[in-house]
Amino acid sequence: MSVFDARDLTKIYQTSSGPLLALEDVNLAVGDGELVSLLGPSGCGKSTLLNMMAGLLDVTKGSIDFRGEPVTGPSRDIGMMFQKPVLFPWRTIFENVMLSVGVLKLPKKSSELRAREVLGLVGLEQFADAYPHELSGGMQQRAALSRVLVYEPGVLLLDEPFGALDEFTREAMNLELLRLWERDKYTIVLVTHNITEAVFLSNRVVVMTPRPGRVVRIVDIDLPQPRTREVMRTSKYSDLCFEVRELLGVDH
Amino acid sequence: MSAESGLPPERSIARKFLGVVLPPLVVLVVVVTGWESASRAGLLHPVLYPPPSQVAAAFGRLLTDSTFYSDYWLTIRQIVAGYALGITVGFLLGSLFTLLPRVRVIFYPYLIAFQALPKVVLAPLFIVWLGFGPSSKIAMALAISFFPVLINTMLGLSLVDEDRLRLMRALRATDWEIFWKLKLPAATPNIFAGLKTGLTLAVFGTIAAELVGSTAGVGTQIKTYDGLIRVDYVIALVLSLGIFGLLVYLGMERLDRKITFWSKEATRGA
Repeated sequence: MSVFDARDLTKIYQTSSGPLLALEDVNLAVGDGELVSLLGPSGCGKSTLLNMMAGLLDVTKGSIDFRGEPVTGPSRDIGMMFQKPVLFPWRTIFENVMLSVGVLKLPKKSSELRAREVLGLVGLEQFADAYPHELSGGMQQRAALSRVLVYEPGVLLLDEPFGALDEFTREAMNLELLRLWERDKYTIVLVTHNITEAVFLSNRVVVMTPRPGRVVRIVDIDLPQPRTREVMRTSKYSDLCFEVRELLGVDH
Repeated sequence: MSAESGLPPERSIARKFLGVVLPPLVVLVVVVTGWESASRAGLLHPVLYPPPSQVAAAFGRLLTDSTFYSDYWLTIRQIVAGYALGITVGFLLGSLFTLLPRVRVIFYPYLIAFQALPKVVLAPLFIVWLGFGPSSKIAMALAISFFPVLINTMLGLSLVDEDRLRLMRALRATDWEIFWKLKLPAATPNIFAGLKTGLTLAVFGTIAAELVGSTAGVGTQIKTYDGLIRVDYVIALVLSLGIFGLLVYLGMERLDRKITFWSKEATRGA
C-alpha cells in the first residue's frame, strides 16, 4: 500500500482578488521507504501539496489518502520540517526537542533519553542547554530535525528545510539526511527548488510547473544506493539533472 | 562584552565616567550651588524656595523619624496590593479578550472610554465609597494600573508567528496548548512592558489617592508638611519618592531582562 495516494488533487485558494487555482489534478503515489522530491519554481504548488499531505490544508477537489485512509488532519506518524527552524527562543535546544514530546503526551522519562540520543545523532549533544540564538543556521535546522525525530514518525515531510542555508551547510545536511534515511527507513517527501539537490537525494523527482501548479512528469532517479558524493561525478547524474532542467524550461 | 570598546578595562571605565556619569553630575552641582547661593543672596524666598542645604537637613530629620518609615511601609503595602490586583485583572481580561473575541466586542468600547478618563478624578469617589483607609488607595492603584497590562497582554497574545502556529498544528496541539506553550511565552516581552508601566502608575495612583484624602501614608505626610508650609520637608519627601520610584523601576527592569533575555535575539532564525 502506498503511504500517500493523491488522485486528481486540486486546491483553489479564495483570495481577496478572487479564486486562485494553486494545484490542478495532481496524481501521485508515494511508496513506503521512498524519498520523493517535489521540485519546481515558486508558485508551482509544491508547498501546497505538502501541506495537504500533512493534513494542514483541506482538499478542494479530488482526494488524498495516507496509508489508505483519507487525510482529515495532522497525523502523529508524520513529522514536518519548515524552511525556518521555528525553534522557540525561550526554550533551550533540549527543551525545544521536548516540545513535541510534551504536545504529543509521550512518556517523559524515556523520551528524555531519546531526545539526548537524537541530539547526538545530529551532532548537537554539546548544545542541549544552549539557546537557539547561540547556534548557527545549520545547527538550528539540526535541532528542528531532532524535534521531529524524537517522536519517531515513519514519515518526514520537509518543506525546503535547507533552502535558507549556505551551499556548504546544505550539502552537509543533505548527506546527513541520507544517512538517517538509510539508517531508519523513513518515507520522505522533500519540497525543493534546487535541481541538483532533488536529483542527488531522491528515488523519484516530481517536476512541477506554476500557474496553475501541475505535475509535468515524475522522473525516476535510478542512481546507485547508497548515494555518496561520488555519484555527483557520474555522467548519469549530470544527464538526469539536465533532463529535469529541460522539463522545467531552460531558463529556470 | 567588556572587550566592546577594544580598550583595557580601566581605560573604558574611565571613559564611561567621563562620558556618562560626569556630565549629569556637573549639571546637578551647578543647579544645587546656584540655588543655594541665590537663596543665601536673598534672591529666592527662603520659605517658598528653601536652599538645598535646608532640604538636605529636612531629609536627614525624616530619616530619623519613625513615622517616615511607618508611612512608607503603609504606602508600599497599598501599592503592592493595588498593583497585584491590577495586573491580575489586566492579565486575565487581556487573555479572556484574546481567547473570546465576542466578549471583547462587548466590553472594549467601555474600556477605551475608561482609559480616556483622567483617572485621578476617581479618587474622591473611591474615598466616598471605601473610606479614608487603605481600601480607597488600593482601588485607585488597581484602576490605574490594570489597563497597560491588559492592552499589552492582548497585543502580545495576538502577535502569533504563522510558522510557529503551523508547527503546533502539525503536532496536533490543542488551543490550550497553543496558548500555554506558544502564545503566552511569546507574549512575555509585551506583557512585561505593560507590567513596568503599570507599576509606575500604581505608585502614582496610590500617592494621588493619599493626597486627595487619607489619614496615613507618604502622600499624607506631604499634605501635612504642605499645610505647615514646610516646603523643605515637602521637597525632601518628593525626592524620596523619586528615589523610591527609580529603585522600583530598576528592580523591574532587572527582572524583565532575566525573564525575557531571549527576546532581543528572537528575530534571528528562530
